[in-house]
Amino acid sequence: MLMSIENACVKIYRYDPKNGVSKYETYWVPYIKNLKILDVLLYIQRSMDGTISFRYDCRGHQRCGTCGVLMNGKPVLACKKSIEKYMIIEPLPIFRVIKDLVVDRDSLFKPLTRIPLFVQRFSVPKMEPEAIDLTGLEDHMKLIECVNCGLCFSTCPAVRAHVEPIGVPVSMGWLATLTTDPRDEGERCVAALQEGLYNCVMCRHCQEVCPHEIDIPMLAIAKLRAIAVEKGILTQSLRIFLNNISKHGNPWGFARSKRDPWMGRIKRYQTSDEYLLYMGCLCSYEERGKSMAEALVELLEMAGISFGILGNEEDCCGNEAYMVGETGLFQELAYRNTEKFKQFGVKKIVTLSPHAYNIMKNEYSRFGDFEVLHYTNLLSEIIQEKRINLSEQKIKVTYHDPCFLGRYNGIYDKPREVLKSIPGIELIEMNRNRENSLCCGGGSGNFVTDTLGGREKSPNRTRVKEAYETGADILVVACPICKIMLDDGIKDEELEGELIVKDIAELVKQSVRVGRL
Amino acid sequence: MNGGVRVNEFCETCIKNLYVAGEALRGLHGANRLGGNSIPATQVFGARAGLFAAKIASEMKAFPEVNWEQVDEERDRVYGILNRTQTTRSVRAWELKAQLQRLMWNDVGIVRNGLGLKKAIETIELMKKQFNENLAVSSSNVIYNWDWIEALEVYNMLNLAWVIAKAALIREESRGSHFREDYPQTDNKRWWKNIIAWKREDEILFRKEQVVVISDVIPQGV
Repeated sequence: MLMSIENACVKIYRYDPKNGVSKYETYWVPYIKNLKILDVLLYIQRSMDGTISFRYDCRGHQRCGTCGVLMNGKPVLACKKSIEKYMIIEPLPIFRVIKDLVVDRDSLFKPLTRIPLFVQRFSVPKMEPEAIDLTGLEDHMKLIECVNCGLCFSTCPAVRAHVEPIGVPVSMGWLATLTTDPRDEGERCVAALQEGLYNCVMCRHCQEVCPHEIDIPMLAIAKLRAIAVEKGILTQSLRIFLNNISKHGNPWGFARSKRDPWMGRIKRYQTSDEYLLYMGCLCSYEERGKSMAEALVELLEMAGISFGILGNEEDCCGNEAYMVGETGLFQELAYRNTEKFKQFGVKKIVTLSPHAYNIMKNEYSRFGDFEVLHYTNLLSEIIQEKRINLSEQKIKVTYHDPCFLGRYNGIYDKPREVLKSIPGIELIEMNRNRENSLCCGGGSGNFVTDTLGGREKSPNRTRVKEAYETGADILVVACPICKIMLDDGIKDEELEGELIVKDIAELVKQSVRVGRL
Repeated sequence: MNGGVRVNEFCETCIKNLYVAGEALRGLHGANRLGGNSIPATQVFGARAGLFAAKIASEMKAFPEVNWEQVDEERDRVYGILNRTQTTRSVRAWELKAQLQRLMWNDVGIVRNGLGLKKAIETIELMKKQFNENLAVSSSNVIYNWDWIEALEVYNMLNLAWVIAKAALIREESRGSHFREDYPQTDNKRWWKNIIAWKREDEILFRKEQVVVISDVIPQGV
């Protein structure tokens, strides 16, 4: 350590339980590339400040799962994450702090005590020792890698929203581990429902922070939900939600004919058109969604893109049905949609919602061959080709990454490119951004069923507060669900007038210079 | 495993009502330590220890008498460490720990010899003295005080390291994972025995005990 010349600045959260004082203390340590946070903590404890407390055990095997800390706002295992030149190290959120970086992990384990965490078996094996066929157990083998570090728990928007801790990512992980165990015969879905199976918003933040990269939403929650929906174990609001989608093609149960009266002047799709603009339910029925769609339509017309919409013929994309576990309904919707696309001769689809983008890009390929674009991609193309001219805007904005665009499909830069192409705009990043962005809490049907509620710690209100702290005037989103959720958050937080939620399309439209140069 | 706490067939130690299981148990696999060895230690003896401990506890009519003098003594030792403030000559627990780890690896490691073991025992005794006289902690906080935790650990580690080194010095042969450069052969005539360390007042004593043969596979040697 003494050989290095460079230094790293480490700011560490200190809390003294004796007098209840919390503060940040700064330490300068030698910077060596690939050194882990735990090494630095040990270095500080041993040679700088012996009073500092943190938890560790196995030292670098990522097996004990006790050394979780928050580094620059992202939950990490201290033994896995390499150090950075400037680090703020804090205890994990949600948990109660005992001292410095040590947290009380009771709230993580308490939900686990409510479910029988062992293989329940009522029949007798045919022979002993019993041979277990390992083929088809890949999911089980992946799930069982969980080390109970609680990083997913500390970052989960569903856990955050509740007063009494529910263990969504962790308990669901363990329940799915048991369900995928070929020996287990226990009833797991009722326990899962009580533990908040439908509270998960499928934001995939847990997978992002997981040291073993376990895909809890897809491996655990989607799997459990599929079984639960099959058995009819679901909440009343969700039952109505799914019924409406299946009957009316939208989650609210509005009449199909009400979909397009306001779209009157927009051109219907013809085979000669290049793009099909897929509106989606939110942009067809919701006022705040409509304004977003209108702005995009105007922009596309201005840029001279040949496109059309389906109007009344459009159906729900099925992403939420898929995420909720109603795979039967999803397949029906996907089949209906793709048949319609084929009938119209659609080759390229532009979607407004990242949710529709995700499902069409990743799951529709089984039904037909389409090119799917999110509208931010198309906008960035239009702007690069200089098909529209943008005037100067003196505003400060911050950008909220939609989960289904970012974490699901890795699109982080395109929307930012669009924003930066507006001259004069100042893009301030929130503390948590890109991969570590907090979900608005609207995923997997929650924008209608509202299982998370609008309490003070609910994800949309937390996110709005974070955006407000950046000092930006406009919170820019690229998703109709985020737009509605965050707009509601602003109303709950009473920040109306101080912060506005705007979609990228609306912002671009606002800065378009009328008339061609 | 290779060494550990001596128990009877009910997993009870020589201290009444104290049960031991798992890797703290000695002698399940003789002188060797192979991967997967902990399966019987946990699955068989863990179950037995739990079973008999539960049986004894459920049959107990009254709470057994506690030797409060011993409890006070131990409490004084544990909390006494907190009062040791730092001076210029003081040593921190992690320093002793690191020193002990290096020493055990070099001299009581895979290849051992009499000279190294003697040197190790002397060093450990010196370190024990250093622990008693110069050890200090950075703060007297009782909540998650790493210095305190490590001091308590090092105290046990020093005692155990001394027993290990001493027993290795007594055993003048090579067997299983114990290899002596100066006695490279397995000597069944002299060393078909276990070495048992036990405590009388403040003194740790060693005695040899003939191994009861329950298997007809005898290790090859002279």
